[in-house]
Amino acid sequence: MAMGMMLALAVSLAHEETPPQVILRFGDGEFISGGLLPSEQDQLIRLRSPVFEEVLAFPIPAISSINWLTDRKVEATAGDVRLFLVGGGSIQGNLIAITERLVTVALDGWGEVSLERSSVVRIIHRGKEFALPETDLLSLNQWPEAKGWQESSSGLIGTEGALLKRMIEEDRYAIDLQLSWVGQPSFRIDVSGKSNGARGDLLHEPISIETWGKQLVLVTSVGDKSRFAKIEEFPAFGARCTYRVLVDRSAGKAVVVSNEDSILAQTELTSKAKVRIQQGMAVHDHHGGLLIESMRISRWDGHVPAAKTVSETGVTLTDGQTIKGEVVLVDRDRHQLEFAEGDKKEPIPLDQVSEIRWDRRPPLAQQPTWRINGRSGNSLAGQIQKIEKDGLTFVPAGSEQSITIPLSWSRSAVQSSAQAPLAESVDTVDTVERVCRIQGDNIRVAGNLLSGEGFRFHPRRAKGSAAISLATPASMEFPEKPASPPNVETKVMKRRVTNNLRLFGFPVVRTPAVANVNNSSAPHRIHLRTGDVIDARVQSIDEKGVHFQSITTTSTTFSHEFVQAVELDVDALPRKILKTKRDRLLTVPRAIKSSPPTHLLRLNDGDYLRCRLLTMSEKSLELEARLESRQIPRERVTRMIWLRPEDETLPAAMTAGQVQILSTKGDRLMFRPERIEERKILGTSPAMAGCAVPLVGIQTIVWGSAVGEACKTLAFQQWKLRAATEPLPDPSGGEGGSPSQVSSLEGKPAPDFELDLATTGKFKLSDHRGEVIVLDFWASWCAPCMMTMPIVDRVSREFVDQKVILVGINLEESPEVAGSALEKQKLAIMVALDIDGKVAADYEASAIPQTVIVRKDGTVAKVFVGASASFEADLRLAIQAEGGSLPMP
Amino acid sequence: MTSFWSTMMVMLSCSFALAQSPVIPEVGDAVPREVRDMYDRGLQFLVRSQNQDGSWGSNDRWTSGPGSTGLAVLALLASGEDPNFGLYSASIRKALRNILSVQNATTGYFPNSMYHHGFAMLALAEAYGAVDDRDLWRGAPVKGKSIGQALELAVRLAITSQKKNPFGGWRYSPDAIDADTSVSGAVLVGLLAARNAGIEVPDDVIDRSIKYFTSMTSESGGVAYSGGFGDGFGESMARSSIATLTLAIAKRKDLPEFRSTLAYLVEKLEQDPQKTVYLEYTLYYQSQALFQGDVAAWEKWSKQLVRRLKSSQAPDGSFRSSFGATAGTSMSLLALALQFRFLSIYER
Repeated sequence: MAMGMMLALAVSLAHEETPPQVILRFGDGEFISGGLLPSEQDQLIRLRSPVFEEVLAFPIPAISSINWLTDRKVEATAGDVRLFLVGGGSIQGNLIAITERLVTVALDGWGEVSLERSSVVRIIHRGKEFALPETDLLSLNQWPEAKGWQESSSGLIGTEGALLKRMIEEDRYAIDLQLSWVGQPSFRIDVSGKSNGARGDLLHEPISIETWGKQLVLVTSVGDKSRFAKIEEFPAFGARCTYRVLVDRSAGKAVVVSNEDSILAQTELTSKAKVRIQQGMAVHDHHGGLLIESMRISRWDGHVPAAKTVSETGVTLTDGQTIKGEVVLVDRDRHQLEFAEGDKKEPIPLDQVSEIRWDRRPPLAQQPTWRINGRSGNSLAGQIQKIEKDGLTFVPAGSEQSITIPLSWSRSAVQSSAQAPLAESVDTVDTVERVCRIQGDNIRVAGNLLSGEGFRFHPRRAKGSAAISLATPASMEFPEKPASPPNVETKVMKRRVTNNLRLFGFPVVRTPAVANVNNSSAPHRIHLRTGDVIDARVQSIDEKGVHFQSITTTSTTFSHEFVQAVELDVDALPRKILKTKRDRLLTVPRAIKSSPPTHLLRLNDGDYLRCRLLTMSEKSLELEARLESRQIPRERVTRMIWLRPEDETLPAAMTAGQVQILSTKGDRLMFRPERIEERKILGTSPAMAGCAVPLVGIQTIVWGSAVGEACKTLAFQQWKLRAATEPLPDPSGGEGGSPSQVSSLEGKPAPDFELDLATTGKFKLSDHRGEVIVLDFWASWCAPCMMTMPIVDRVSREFVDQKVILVGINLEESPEVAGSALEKQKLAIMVALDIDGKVAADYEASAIPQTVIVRKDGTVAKVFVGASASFEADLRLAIQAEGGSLPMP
Repeated sequence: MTSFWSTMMVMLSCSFALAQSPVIPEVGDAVPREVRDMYDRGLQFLVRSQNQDGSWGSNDRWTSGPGSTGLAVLALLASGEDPNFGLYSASIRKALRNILSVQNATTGYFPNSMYHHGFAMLALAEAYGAVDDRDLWRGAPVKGKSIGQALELAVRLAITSQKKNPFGGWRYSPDAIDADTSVSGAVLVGLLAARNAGIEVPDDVIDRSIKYFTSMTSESGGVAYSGGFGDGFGESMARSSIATLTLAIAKRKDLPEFRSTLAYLVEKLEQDPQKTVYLEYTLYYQSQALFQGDVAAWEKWSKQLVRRLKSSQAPDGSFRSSFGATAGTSMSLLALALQFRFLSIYER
């Protein structure tokens, strides 16, 4: 029945439309991503996060920004008018209508939208001939030099020392800027400057907008002179600014105009030098955190808005003439607007109008707290009211009516940091007092675990709580210092188990002396793959798994797939093992890679044995090594390690539904969390039965694949098998190994060496200049080597009178082993013993057989790795090429 | 000609196989339950996937034909179930009728290659005497040959084919004038089984083919594929196994070549196959060769075999192979079947 319900739920979820994916950011770096869901309540955002099983709700005032996660980049602007709006922000579209109350425009990706006239400051009409040359600079490919910037759906995000630089062809131009930032801003925007065109070169004599402490200033520099004018102080505009900067490079003039078209600052400083030099612009983000929400550059006609006329209601025509009066209607069809002055109404062709403006608005009663950035560099200031199915309900600044902004049109919404609430949304939930933080790919949120059933979390800024989904890997970090010391409970909990509860997080007594007394019932230790360690008495091992008794769990068997290692002698001192030996123990020869050894035993004399462990009884171990069955007494074995391939990850089933707790003491425990009470997490473990973990002792909780990652550092997890290097593939596609791969050694001086010979004496390569030396790297266990060696020998002998010498370089074997292998093959070859594998390493002989031909001048002529059907002929040709001539047949 | 068997031409640098776990019995011990279960599941797959006409597979020449049908018959016979009244009797009889009906009535050839001919001949030889064929054709519109008649005809074709062959071996076509050790192995084992079943096979036929095998065997125990050693020295566990097996069944363990090929196999007991594309074919021969040559080595090797097959058996009981599921399953089962030893060819 429950199953049926789940199925029905799954089906209904599958039919549900995928909600738009967003990231909600809060102050101090916290964030959570997920699907944005409609909400019936005002001022509440509902989010379906993969980290939680239930939908979470966040009060809108608690959120500092919403970013839509979309691949869509900022698109080019479209439309014949741009509306400059109250509270900052502007939108560009096609003008549809102006009525006494409303201005209607058609926006790309939104459709027709009607704004109250009270929220519009002015309209710039661009017309057809005027609709260019505007370049959107929000794409990094508009900047030949860009470092430290990231394109995002919100715009360009700067990091410390980020730089943008490009050339500008125009002499008079306007730059429309919309910037916001995190923290104290520190940036400089050179809206103009001389450049020699070289990369990385700073602009000379720049006109810049710069942050000077808490001020933003406009600076013009020429030669050793500079002039500056204050634009604004930060608190006046919070974390965002919107300007139009007008530049007349020849005149050395720059004007900063506000969104409402008032002049904020201007400077003028003419350069005497008349040399025409390349002009550029640049953006420097000194400390990082600058967000360029919009940046467009367009030609400027040189007209500076006159401060006294701009506030008057009226229109400016394309010929510069200004007319006072009210526009009452746009007749789109007849392509004209109706203009009224007093009672007189007059039509004006739309093409002749360049600007329509209204009186300066009275100060806003309420400062807009949100700015929505949409497609094409459009933005609106105002208040977010609600998220509904068909869009975001928004009240634009200066307006009383709300509009609906389609969610697909939005790129980001940012709350001005001056007003972003830092106070947490207080909600009555029964939280446990230890604050912690959930971290993962989709989340970084602080909050508290909840007392009661389940494993529930209350993000401190959310309204209410949600059950954590253990299917999404994440971790939970607890602050280093626990809220209250664990002293009181320690005594009670110390390794005593009642009612099958494993109490965890307190020092396990492990000094040998105490262990002998206390651990008489648990003389062994079982290490699970999940990192759990169980003190136990291991009774036997068979194909079902490891059978044991332990006071810490009611389980008596762990199947093999759970076990990482068993320590039969927990007091055995750790032994240092040489890296080369360890590598050899863990390397699976190519010939047996499909049935690698499954266990590594450490014996009490320090020896290691790779094998397949079959069974273990109270007395002995039965194992298989190289297909031979063997029995060894149990007392000889100190530990057994289960070997697994390097790339084998923890099966998901092993961690499903469970968390792993890492205590401040370094212990680990994995179980299924069921409830939290009395400041303990209670649950059961398939391995351990009942578990209870006091919150005070916890450092981290991890789940999902994060468990495997967290276990990687454990000592026994380092014993991973790796496959021996494969020979280079045969480019001809033929069977067998391949000769004649181009080795990096070819043409280079052959590494010199001096090695003991298997018989007597030494062989030093550099003593043999003037002779062709054939080095054959081999080992007795290498079957292909034993196949190729007779061929190498035979071919070399053909040139025996031609100063061609064959030396077999035996890899890391004793003279006896090497000798007996040759004897078996009935070969009489000079063998040099590469005891430590150094020469093989110098010759990059990671896969053998490898045959190297060294020229008379001591350089490497040819390297053969493996061998193919044509090996014999190829080898013969290669030796011939080095001056060996074949005897006549 | 590209039949499924002809792909084996390139095979002959295979080697072998390994896997996971259980306890292998001493000779004569009861078969471990998990091996029996594995075997039964494989047979049930064969029975389920048998065509109405008694054959297996589709029209695909690569995976279907009297050789494939013959291997399936061998796997069914090797179960030890009564072929006349037991669990698989209907399936066996249907398959035999199919083999007999596709035989060329005049020449005795099992098309479409001597591979098929060899394996079909082996199946008939094992069925001969074991399967009561007195009413094999009851109800059929046209009454076909008896198993004995078909086997005699098939043997005669193999002998004629060898006579025409300058090497004393066989190749894909019955009229071929070159030979390879893979096809020759299939035909020779078929002939030896027929002789064991009482069909007359002249000694010189066997001797000549043994001579062909010994000429293809090196001192190291490697066996060439075709045309001598110049053809390459790539290892082939399958070819060395074929040589070991044929010499053993021909009762020529006295030959040095037998000792060298067997030593070659025993030395590489633990090794992986180099090419898994012929894995089941290799396992099929390797199991028989080791069993005939060195029971102790076979026992050790079988541990790996059982582990490997246990992990590769599909949930439907089949063993997928590059020759299709029927041949893959039959050959894998026959590699295991040495544990039961119900086939006379398995006798030591």
